[in-house]
Amino acid sequence: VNKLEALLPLLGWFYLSLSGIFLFLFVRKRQALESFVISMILFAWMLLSIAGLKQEILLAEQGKPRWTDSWQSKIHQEIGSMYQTYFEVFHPLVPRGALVHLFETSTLEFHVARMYLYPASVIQAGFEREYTPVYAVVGEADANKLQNGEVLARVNGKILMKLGEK
Amino acid sequence: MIINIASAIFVLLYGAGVGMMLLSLTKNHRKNDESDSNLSPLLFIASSFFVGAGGVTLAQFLLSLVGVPISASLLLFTPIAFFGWWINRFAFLKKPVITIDWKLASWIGVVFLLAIFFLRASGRTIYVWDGVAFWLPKIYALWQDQRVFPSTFIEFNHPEYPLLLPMIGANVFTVLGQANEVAAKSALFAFTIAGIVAFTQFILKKLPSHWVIPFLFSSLLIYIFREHVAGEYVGTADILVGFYLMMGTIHLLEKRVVLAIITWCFAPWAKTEGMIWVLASSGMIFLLFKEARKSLFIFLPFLAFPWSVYNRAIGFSSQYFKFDELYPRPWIDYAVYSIHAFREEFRNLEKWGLAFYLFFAVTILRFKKILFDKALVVLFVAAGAQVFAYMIIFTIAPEEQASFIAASVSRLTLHIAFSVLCITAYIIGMERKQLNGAKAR
Repeated sequence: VNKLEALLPLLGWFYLSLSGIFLFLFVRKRQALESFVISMILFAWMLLSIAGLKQEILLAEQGKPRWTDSWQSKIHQEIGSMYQTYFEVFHPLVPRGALVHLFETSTLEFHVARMYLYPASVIQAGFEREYTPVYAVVGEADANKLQNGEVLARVNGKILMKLGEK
Repeated sequence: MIINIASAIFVLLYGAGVGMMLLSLTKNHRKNDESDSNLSPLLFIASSFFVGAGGVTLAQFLLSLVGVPISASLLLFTPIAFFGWWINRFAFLKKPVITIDWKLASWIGVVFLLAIFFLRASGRTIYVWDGVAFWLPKIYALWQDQRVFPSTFIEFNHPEYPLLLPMIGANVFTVLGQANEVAAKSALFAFTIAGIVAFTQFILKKLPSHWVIPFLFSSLLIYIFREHVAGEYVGTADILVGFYLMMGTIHLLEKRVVLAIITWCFAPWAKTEGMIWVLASSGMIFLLFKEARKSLFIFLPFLAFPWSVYNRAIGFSSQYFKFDELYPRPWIDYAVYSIHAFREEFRNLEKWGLAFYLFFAVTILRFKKILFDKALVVLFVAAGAQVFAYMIIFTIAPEEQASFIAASVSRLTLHIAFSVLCITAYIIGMERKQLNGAKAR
């Protein structure tokens, strides 16, 4: 009985409306009633959709300042200076297949860097790791934590370093 | 903005041109009659695009395996695209593509919606998680390598995902000679244009006129759909699977069985999940459409071959079917939860409006008629199999179930949503067809 009671909330108006439709199957002048049911659902759905249309127009209007922006500017609005840092500046300096360690970065930045630095491989790392990477990207404040590194590029607060292999 | 519009138009024209050539190889693409199975000019362009876009990208992948760069194969298909348009030019000149009557109002509305969708879609770069984690990175990788190496995608999440979307993006990068992410995203809008045009044509043809506008605009304003063609999810592949399944559904409901099979075969090239529909529908077509068995034997292996090559070349299988990693679970509870996930999804007014309410209502109201329509039986089994397979995945996948469902159930429902809407319109229109038939007699 308890399980049946638990089922009751599931039998909400969705199922009641479906059972209402089932009832129509047994009444006369079915075709007219079918049209009535379809019309009512479509009418209700259209009313719901008007809100969607308003929302879509509003969103398009909100995006108006961006319509004529350059694609670089649109990327910048989304991920800041990462495109310039990783693709335009760091990417040409890292050879295919090199392993680049990103130190103390967010997950988003890791994914973006992995995309822009391809065909180099990118992994996230912390300073506590024992091995020494060949290439590393660090923030300005952390540059001194990596010893014997050659600075290949410095842009937007990020430094690309080449380090000696251990 | 001009580059974005040009990218979408380029992809649309290019794909449609090649598709027209491919469809010329089948018998039933265009006839000189007014039969139900005849393709109208707009539907012909739209369906050619889906076949062409899938065909070109698949061929580019195969050619890249033997060392042909993407840029070279793109150049190789260019004369084919031109030739496709050239040999079909008279089909579009014979009669106006859109006539001036009450239907024009629907088309004006559709063009308005397409415009505002495009403005929003091209206003931002690809930024949703899946886009940044693997779809966009794959575009960069293909563009830079110009070939598909087994190791190309190992760096990114879901290396096993197919290449329809990344290959189109890489082609746009190649043509423009720069990593213009917004243009690549805009180019994907070609699928939206072709999909909405095909959907509108079908609705105008099948539904009684007084229901066309509410049905059409309510469908196109579905929240999840808008988010995938204009909002956050533009640049991910779920809507592409939805469009391929919808296009095939339209073909089958208009008795173009061979075209339906061909179109559906490209759905797994957008995303692996499309395979479930292809297998289920192929099995049902084999059972119910004896005349299509020969085509099934020709096209299925023909299209399955590159797919199988892709899986071998990449060497990864879906992460959701790791049966060796199954661990003890309260299976019944998990399965029930998966079922309820879809029940909740179907009745979610905010996400889907009354789309599924209408579908279930007309299914119940016209249940007997559905049983006697072979095309509908195929489609109901395919859609049912698709949802059932997702329920199984939700139950057995190694991910934490509730989070997995919350993150993906809407996108998976989108795969079948527009096919379901076409089925709904067809079922509603069945009565009108019968009445017209009775009047004619």
